[in-house]
Amino acid sequence: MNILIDLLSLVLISIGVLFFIAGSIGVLRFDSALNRLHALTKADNLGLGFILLGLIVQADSWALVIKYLMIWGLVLLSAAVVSHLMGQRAYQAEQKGRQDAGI
Amino acid sequence: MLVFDGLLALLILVLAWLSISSRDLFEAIVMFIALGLMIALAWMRLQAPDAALAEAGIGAGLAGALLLSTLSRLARQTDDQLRVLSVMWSMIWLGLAVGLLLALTQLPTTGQGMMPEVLANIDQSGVSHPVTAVLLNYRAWDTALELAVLAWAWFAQQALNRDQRPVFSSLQGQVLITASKMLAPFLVLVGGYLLWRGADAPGGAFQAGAVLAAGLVLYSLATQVTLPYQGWQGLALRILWLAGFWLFGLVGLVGLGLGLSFMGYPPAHAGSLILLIEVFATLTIAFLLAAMFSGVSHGRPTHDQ
Repeated sequence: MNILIDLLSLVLISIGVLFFIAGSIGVLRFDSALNRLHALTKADNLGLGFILLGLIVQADSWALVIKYLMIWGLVLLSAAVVSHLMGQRAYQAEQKGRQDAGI
Repeated sequence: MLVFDGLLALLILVLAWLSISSRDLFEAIVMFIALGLMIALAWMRLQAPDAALAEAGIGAGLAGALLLSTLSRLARQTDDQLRVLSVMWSMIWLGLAVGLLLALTQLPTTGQGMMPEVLANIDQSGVSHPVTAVLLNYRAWDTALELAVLAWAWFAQQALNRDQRPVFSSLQGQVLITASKMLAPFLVLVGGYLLWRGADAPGGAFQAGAVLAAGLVLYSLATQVTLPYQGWQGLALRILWLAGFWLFGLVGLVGLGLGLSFMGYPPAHAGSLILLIEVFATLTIAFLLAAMFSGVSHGRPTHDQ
C-alpha cells in the first residue's frame, strides 16, 4: 500500500515537474510577452498543482492537506493578478508601439 | 543534497555578479530580487527559517519593491557610464576578499557555538524559541538599534526627496483592487500569526512587519493612495513610526529602575513585555517600510490625477 502511494506521488510530482520544465522552456523560447505569460501560467497553476497533489497523498493529517490547498489557492490568486498586470502592460506597450510606427 | 547546495551557491554568486554588472537597471533589480530569493533558500538549507523568512520578505520582496519604485522616478533607465578599472578600488576589494577568506578559515568548525548558553537561560527569557530569546531578550539592544536604523533610513529618504510618490502607471479594470481586497485579511492574519508564533517557533516582529508592509504596499498600488500625514491618522502614524523604538527604550529603563540592568526584563513578566514590544515593533516596521515605498502625502489629498 505504501509503495502504491509512493508511486502515485512520484507520478504526480513528475507530471508537475514536467509542466514546470515546459513552462520554463516556453518563457525562454516564445517570442512575445503574451505568449510567454501563457507558458508561465501553465507552470504556475498546473505544475504547482500536481506537485502539491503528489505531496497531499503523502500528508499524514488533514491540517496539512488544507495548508497545501491554501498555498495552491493563494499562488493561483496572485499568479492570476500578476499575469493580468503584466499582460496589461504588454498590451499597452504594444499599442504604444503601433502608434509610434503609425499603424 | 551536496549537488543542490553547490548549484545554489554558484547561482547566488552568478546572480550577485549579474545584479551589479547589468547595464539595464530594471534587469539589475530583477537579478537582485532573484538573488534575495536564492539567499532565502540558502538560509533554509542552513536550517535558519527565521533568517530565510526575513530575507525573502524584506531582502527580496520589499527591498525589490523599493528599488523598483525608485527606478520609476529615475529619468535614466540604463547605466551608460564608461567603466574603468580603478587600481585603488580593485586593491581595496581584493584586500576585503582576502580578509574574508582568512576569517572563514578561522571559523570554529566544531562545537555548538552559543546554543548551550542560550538554552540554559531560556526559561527566564519569557519565550521558548531561541532566536526570539536572543533577539528580544539577550541582545534586545541590538534589535532596538535595528529599528532606529530603519527610522534613520526613512528620515534620510525624506531629506533627500520630499516628493516621494512613485510614478504609477494607470491600470484598466478592477482586478488589482479586488485582489488586494481579497488578500488584505489574509495578510493581516498571516502577520498576526507570525508575530504570535515568534514566541515558540520561527517568526517574529520583522517577518510580521514585512508581511503587513507588503499588504500596505499592495493597497497603495491598487488604490494609488499614499499614507496620510495630516489629521488624527497622520498623528497616529507618526507616533507608530517610532513607537517600537521608544517602547524598547522605556522597557529598558524600567528594567534599570527595578535594579536589573538596562534592557533587563523581570523574568516573571518577560513574556508579556516581549510581546508588547513586538506588537509595536511590528507596526513600526510595517509603516516605515510602507511609507518608504509609497510615500506620504504632506498636503491635503488632491483629486486631480
